[in-house]
Amino acid sequence: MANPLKNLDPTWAWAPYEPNSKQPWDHAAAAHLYRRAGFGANWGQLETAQRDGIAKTLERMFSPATAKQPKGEGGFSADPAAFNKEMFVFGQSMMATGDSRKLSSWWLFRMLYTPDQLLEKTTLFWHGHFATSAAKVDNAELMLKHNAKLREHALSEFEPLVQAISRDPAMLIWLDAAVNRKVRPNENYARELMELFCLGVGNYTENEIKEVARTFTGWEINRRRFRFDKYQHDEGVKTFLGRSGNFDGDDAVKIVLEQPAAPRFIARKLARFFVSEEPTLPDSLIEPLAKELRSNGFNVGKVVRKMLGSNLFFSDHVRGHIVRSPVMLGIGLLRSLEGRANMNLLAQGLEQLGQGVFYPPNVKGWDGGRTWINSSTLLGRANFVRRILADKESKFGDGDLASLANKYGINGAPATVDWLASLLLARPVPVTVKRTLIEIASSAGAADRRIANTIHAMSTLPEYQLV
Amino acid sequence: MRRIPTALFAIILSFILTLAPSWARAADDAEPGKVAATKSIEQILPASTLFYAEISRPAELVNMLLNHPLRKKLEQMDQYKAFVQTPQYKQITAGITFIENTTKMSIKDLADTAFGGGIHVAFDAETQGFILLIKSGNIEKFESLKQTAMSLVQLAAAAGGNENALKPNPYRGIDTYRLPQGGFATVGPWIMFVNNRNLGQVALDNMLDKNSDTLASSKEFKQAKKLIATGSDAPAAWAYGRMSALRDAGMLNGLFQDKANDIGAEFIAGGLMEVLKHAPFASASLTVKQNELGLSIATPFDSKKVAPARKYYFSADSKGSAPVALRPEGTLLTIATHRDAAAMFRAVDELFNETVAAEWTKSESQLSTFFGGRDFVDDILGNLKPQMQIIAARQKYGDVTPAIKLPAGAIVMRLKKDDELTRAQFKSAFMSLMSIINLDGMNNGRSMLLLDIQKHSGANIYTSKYAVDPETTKKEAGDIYFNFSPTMAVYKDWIIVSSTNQLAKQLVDEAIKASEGLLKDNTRIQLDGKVGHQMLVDNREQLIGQNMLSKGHGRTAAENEIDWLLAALKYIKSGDMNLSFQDNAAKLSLTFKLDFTE
Repeated sequence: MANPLKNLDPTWAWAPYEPNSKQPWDHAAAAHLYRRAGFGANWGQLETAQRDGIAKTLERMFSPATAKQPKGEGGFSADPAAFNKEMFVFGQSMMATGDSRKLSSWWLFRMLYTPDQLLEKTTLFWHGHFATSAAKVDNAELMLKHNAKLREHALSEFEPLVQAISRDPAMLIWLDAAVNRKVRPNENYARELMELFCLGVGNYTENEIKEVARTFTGWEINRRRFRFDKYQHDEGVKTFLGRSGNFDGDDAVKIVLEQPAAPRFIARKLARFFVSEEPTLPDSLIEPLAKELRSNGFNVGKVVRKMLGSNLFFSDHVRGHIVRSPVMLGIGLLRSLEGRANMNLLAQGLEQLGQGVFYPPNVKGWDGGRTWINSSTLLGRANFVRRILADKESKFGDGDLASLANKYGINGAPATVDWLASLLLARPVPVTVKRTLIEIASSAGAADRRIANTIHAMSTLPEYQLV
Repeated sequence: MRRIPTALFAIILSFILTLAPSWARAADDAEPGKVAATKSIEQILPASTLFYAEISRPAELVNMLLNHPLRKKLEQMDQYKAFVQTPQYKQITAGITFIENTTKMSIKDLADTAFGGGIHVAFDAETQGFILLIKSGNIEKFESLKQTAMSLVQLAAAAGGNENALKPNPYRGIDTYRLPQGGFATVGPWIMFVNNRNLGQVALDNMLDKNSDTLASSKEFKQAKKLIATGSDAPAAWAYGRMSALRDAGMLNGLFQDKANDIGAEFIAGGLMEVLKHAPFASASLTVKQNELGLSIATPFDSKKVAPARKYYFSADSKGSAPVALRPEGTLLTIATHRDAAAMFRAVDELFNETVAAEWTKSESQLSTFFGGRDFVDDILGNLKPQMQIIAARQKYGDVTPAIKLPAGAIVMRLKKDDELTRAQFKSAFMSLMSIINLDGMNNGRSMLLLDIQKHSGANIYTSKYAVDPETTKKEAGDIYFNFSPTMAVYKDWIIVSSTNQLAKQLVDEAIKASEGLLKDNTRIQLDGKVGHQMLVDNREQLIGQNMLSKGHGRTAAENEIDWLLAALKYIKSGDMNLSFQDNAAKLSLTFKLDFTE
C-alpha cells in the first residue's frame, strides 16, 4: 500500500502550524500535543492551553522554568532544574538498599509529577534508543546515573550525549565492554554505536566495526567508574568511514556523527516517536529534519520543536497514528485524571504489558508500534486500567473520579463521556460506541463506579490504543 | 429535622434491635429477670464450655477512652483539626447527638446502662454453638432504655411496613426471638444472643434453675480464675480455653507437629509448644490502664512432662533463667533468654524432621571446619553458657551516613571455660567469616572490609569497617552496608559478636560492670519506644520516599502522613515481654507503656 504521506509537500508539512477552521486549536489539538510531547493533560491544563493558544503552550513546554512558582504539584519544585535535583536525591535514597526494581517505580513517579513532561518523554525516547537494562547491570546507582545522563542531554546536542554514553559504566557493563584490551578489542560497543545509536544497518562494514573497536581500547570500568587505561589503548592508525589516523573513542564518535546517514537516522527515529509510527514518514519528509539537525549542530530540542509545532503534527495525517505504549497507558491515564496510584503496582503492571522501564528487552530497546498489542496484551491493558482504577491507593484530584468530574462541573452521562473522551481518546469513537459508553455512564450504582466503568470500557476500544 | 445518614441509621437501628426484645415483656418477665439477675456468668454457661472470654468492665473502658490523654494530644494535631471538618466526622457527631437526645443519656451513661455489667462470649463444645451475653450495669435505667428502644423499633418497623418483624416465642415466661441463625432474648439485666437455639435453651434454663452442670462446677475454670489478678490489678478482659478439649477435637493439630521443620521457630517457641501439648487449659487476661496495656497468658506447667529433647529450653531442672540484659545507651531492643543451643542440636534427630536434620549435619561439619576442626556442637556450642542476649541499638555514624539507618545488632554469649584455645578459635572463625564477606562484597559491588585488631577496656576487639571511596559523593546518603562494621569482642569469658564496632565496645563497657545475677524469667524482651521513635525519625526521609512510591503521594501528602504516624508513635514508652515457668505455671506477659509527658 502506498504511503499516504509520500505526496505531502515537505515545506507545508514542517511549516509552523496556524490554527484554521479545518484544524482548529481546541481541546482535542491541545490534548494531542500533550499526549505526544508528554504523557497527557488534565482538564485544567487543556482549558489553559486552549485559552493561551498554540504558541504560548508550545513555549511553556520547551521553557517550563517557572521560578515564580516555588512549589509545583505534590509539593515538589515547579522549576524543572530544582525538581530534577529533588528527584535525583529521592532516587538515590530509594536505591540505598540496592534494589534495582525500585528504579521503575521511581521513574514512573517522576513522570507523574514532573513539571517538564517533554523532557521526561524525550528521556524515555533515549532510554529506548540507548537501551540499557538494570537486569544485567544490576546496580541501581549506575542505572540512576545513566538515566540522569539521558535526561541531561535529552533535548540538547546529540554528540555530547553519545560521548557521555560511550563512557557510561552502565552502558559498558550492559554491552560486556567493561574490559577492552588492545590485544582483543571488544567490538560490542563499536557495533552498537554505528548500528543502533548513530547510523543504522548498511552504513558501515564489518571491518569498520573492528577499526572503531580499536579506538575504544583502554576504555574500561573500574570500581563502578569509567577509566582510561592508556596501556591498553591501541595507539596505531585506524581506518574507517573514509578517515585514517590514530583515533581514540572521542574521535570515533565525531567521525561517525559526521556521516550523512547520522542525522537521517536520528531524525527518522524522533519522527517515529513524536509524529507518526504508521505510516512512517517518507524520506522526503525526513530530509528537512536531517538538514535541520546538521545545520544546528545536532540539536535535538530544536528539531523536536519544529516537529511538534508543525502543520503535519496537527493534521489528521498523523493524529492517532502512534500505538499507545504501556507507559503512556499508565501515566497518561493518571496525568489526564489528576491521578495518584501505587507506583510499585504501576511498575509491575507495565512490565507485564511489555514495558518495564529500566528493563528494556534487549539492546534494540522496545520495538513499539503494533508489537505493543496482541490478543493477550489487549485484554491485559484493559485489566490493568481496571486494577489501577479500583486500587485502594488510587486517588483522582482530591478524592475519587466523581469528585473530579464535579470539580469541573461535569454532570450527566453524555457530558461525562465527552469529558473522558477529550482527556483520553485521540480519535472520536463511532456513534454506536458512544451510545454504549453513555449507557454505562448512566447505569445504576455510585457515580465514582460508573465513571470507572466507563473508563474501563473505553480502554477496551481500538481508539484507546492510539495516541 | 436533621437527616440521619443511612449508615449511621443502620448502626443505631442494630443497637436498638439489640435492646428491643424486652419491650413486650417488661412487666411479665419480672420473675425470671429477678432470678437471672442473681446468676453469675459461670452459673449460666454450660460445663461443656470450650472457650470463654469476657470484657469485665466495658463501660470503664469507654470512659477511659473518652478521657484518655491521647485524645487531647490527637485533638491538638493538625490532621485531627482537618478531620473534624470532614463530612464523616460530622456524621459521627450527629449520630452521637441523636442517640444521646433520644435516650436522654450521655454516652458514658448509655455505655454503663447497656453493657456496664460485662460482655461475655463463649463457645460450647456439646452444642457447637456460640453465645454472647451482655449484662447491664444499671438495671433501673436499663428498663427505661429498653422502653425507649422499644418505641423506636416499633416506629422503624411500622415505617418499613413490617410490624411483625420480631415475633416473640415465649419460653418459660421469657420472650425469645428467632434470627436466621439462632436467636436472642433478654432476661433481667442480661441480653443473650446465640447462633444455636439448643445452647440458648441451656443458658436460659441455667438462668432460671439451680443447675449443677455449669461452668461454675468446672475445676479447670476455677483454677483458671485463680490465675487472674483481682482488686486494682483486675484485668479489663480475660479469656479461658480448655486446651485438653481443643486438642482432643484436633483443633490444635497444626501446632503440634511430631517434628519441627524450622530451627529458628523451634529455638524461639519449641518450649511453648511443649507446654501447650500438655496444658489442661489456658487463660489470658488484658489489663488496660491509662498509660499501660498488658496481656498475660498463663497455663499450668508440669516440668515432669517435658520431653527430654526439649529440656534445652528449660534446662534440666526446668528452672533455666535468662541473664540480666546489658543495655548500653541507645538500646532499642534486648532479648535475654535461656537456651542451651548445644543440647538442642544434640537432639536434632528427635526435634527436627529428616530434611532439617540432614541439612544441619552438613552445616555442622562446615562449621566445625570453621572452628579449626573442633566439634561445633560439643566443643563450641557446648562451651557456651545457656544464657544469651541479643541486642539492637541505635547507632552513630562516622565517615559515611547511610541513607537507610539500621540499628546495630549484637549477640552476647559467655564461655563456660574461657581457655585461650577457645578464644583463639572464635577469633580465627570471625576473621575467616570477614574474608568470606569480603569475597562476596567484591562480587556484589561493595567496598572492601578493612580488618583491624584493637584493645578496649581490657578486651580484644577484632573489627572491620568498609573502606570509604575518597571520591564518594554520598557521604550523607551512603549505601546500606555502611551500617555495618562487623566486630567481635572477647573480654574474659564474654564473647560479643556485633554488627558494629561501636556497639561491641559499648557492650564491653557494660559487661565490665554487669552483675552475675539471673532473672526469674526464661526469656525477657524489652523494647525502648523512645529509641524506636528516634530511629523512625532518623529514617523519616526513607519513610516519606516509600510512602510516595507505594501510594503515589506527592511530597506534602507523604510528609503529612508520616509525620502524623511519627507523632502518634512517640507516645510509646516501652514494650516488655516476659516468659516464665515458675510455681507450676507457664506465663507469658506482654506490657506496653505509654508516656504523654511530651
